[in-house]
Amino acid sequence: MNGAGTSPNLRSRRAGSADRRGVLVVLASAHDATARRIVAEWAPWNAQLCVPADLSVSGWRHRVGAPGDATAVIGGRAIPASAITGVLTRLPAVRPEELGHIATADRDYVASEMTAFLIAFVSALPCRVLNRPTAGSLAGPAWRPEQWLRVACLAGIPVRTARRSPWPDAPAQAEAQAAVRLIVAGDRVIGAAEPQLAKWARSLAGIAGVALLEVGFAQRAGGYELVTVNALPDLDTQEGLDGAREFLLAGGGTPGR
Amino acid sequence: MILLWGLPADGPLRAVHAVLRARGEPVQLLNQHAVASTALDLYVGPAVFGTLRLHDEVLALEAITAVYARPYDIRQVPALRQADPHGALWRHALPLDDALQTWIEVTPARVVNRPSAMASNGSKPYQAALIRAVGLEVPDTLVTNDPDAALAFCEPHRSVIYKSTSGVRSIVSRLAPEEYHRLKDVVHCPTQFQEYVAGTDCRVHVVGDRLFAAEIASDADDYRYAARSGHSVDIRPVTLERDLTAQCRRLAAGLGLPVAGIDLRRTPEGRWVCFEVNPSPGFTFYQEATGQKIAEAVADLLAAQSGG
Repeated sequence: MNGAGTSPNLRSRRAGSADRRGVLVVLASAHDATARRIVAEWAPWNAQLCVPADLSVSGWRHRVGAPGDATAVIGGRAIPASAITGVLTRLPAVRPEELGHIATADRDYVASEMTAFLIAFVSALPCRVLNRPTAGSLAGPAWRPEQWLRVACLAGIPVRTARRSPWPDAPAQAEAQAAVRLIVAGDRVIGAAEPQLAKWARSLAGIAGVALLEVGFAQRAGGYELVTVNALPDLDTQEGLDGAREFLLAGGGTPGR
Repeated sequence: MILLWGLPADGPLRAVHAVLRARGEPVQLLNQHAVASTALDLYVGPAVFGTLRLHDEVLALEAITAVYARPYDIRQVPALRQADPHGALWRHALPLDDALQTWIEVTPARVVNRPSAMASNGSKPYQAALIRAVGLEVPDTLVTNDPDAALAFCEPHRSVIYKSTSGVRSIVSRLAPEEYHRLKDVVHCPTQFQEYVAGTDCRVHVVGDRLFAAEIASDADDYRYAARSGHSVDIRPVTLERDLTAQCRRLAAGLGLPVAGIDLRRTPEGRWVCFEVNPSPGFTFYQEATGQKIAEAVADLLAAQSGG
């Protein structure tokens, strides 16, 4: 069992359960300013910020095969899985640096354990999740850039060949610069001037099983080619935020107003 | 060309290497001890190509038809442990390791096993949900940081074990009722509890379409550590019923694992319960005890892809 030390203020859990409104959960680092901005923006939909330290407040439960019986604890409040209307994940894993309340010697292990727990917990939730965890990441596929390029190629999307060379005498490859950036956020594709680019972005998101994806295309003779993919976009536009929220709530969540 | 990646003393790697060499198959060892003289130049786009340099030899990546990957954490390899973490060797070795991991994800060669397919073992309750999805029974499992919930789970079960939730290796331990006062410690981090399932352990190795099952008789809670804890262990080959073998094959295939080690237990009532799937099984432990030709089967799988 985990005997790691923690600060006393994290040990208590306020009595009671979630109010009748559903909760839109934003799972993020405690240092993620964008996450706080999203929570403030989504306050009318009862958005709550869940940070790794919340996992050291008693009350979390996940029973294999019974996702409906799960309970989260966010901001000191126990929230049954049935009250969670959607989850936006903004961190691929819990980092030891987030766990200042855990004894230093135990932080790496506890971070691994918390990540493993959250992958199981969030992936089993019946609500919509952006992006639903996979075995390797809390936020969608844990693919390297080259894996995204291969998947795109197989889908018929033109890509720019990427090179990795640890040889010191190899000519340096110019960093791929995207001329056009698009964000797939639920049903919306933001930043798409060219319908073909929007189609490719949707196609890639569909193959990867994600509804939140940023893709970057560079121009080449006669068209565009994919150069960058990011399954954790910053959601720095109102349209992106709205697209993400609409997607999450379309799964059955209701605004709390 | 078949590439074996890892440390030469690793049991499964050494066993497969010996079989391939005895057969005269074209095989190369990508030795992690020789990281300083290894380099990879990788291109990924409509095609995957490049070169892999091993000492003075340069291999075309396109000529590599199969990979058996058993790499250790490169930071733990003696050459790196003895080197300055800010020095040239580390600056070479870490990006190289990452590039090799990338290559085995994207190469069209057969890879036993790709890192992404191995990842489910990093979250035991996540993997348990995948095991249930193929129709295999898993132990009643609760992951919680609530001492009251843990106690409520423990009491109705005759016996409960706890183990790590992540892929960090831990010794499976039984929680005795007189230790229930320790449950208060779980508040710091969700901890995995499982009903203790009495019965006989069975390790199933799936290798492509082939299946090798071994029954393990031991009085230890975790037979892998039986000798260390002064317990006995006896391993012998066993034949499983057809439905169960089909489920094991489906499970390995569903996880994208050409080679997998599946841990089962048969209860005294005849039920089969699945505990986990090991994506990089150390099969030589079982092979040596049973005589099952698992290394031969892995070699067959690798060679079939090379047409050799």
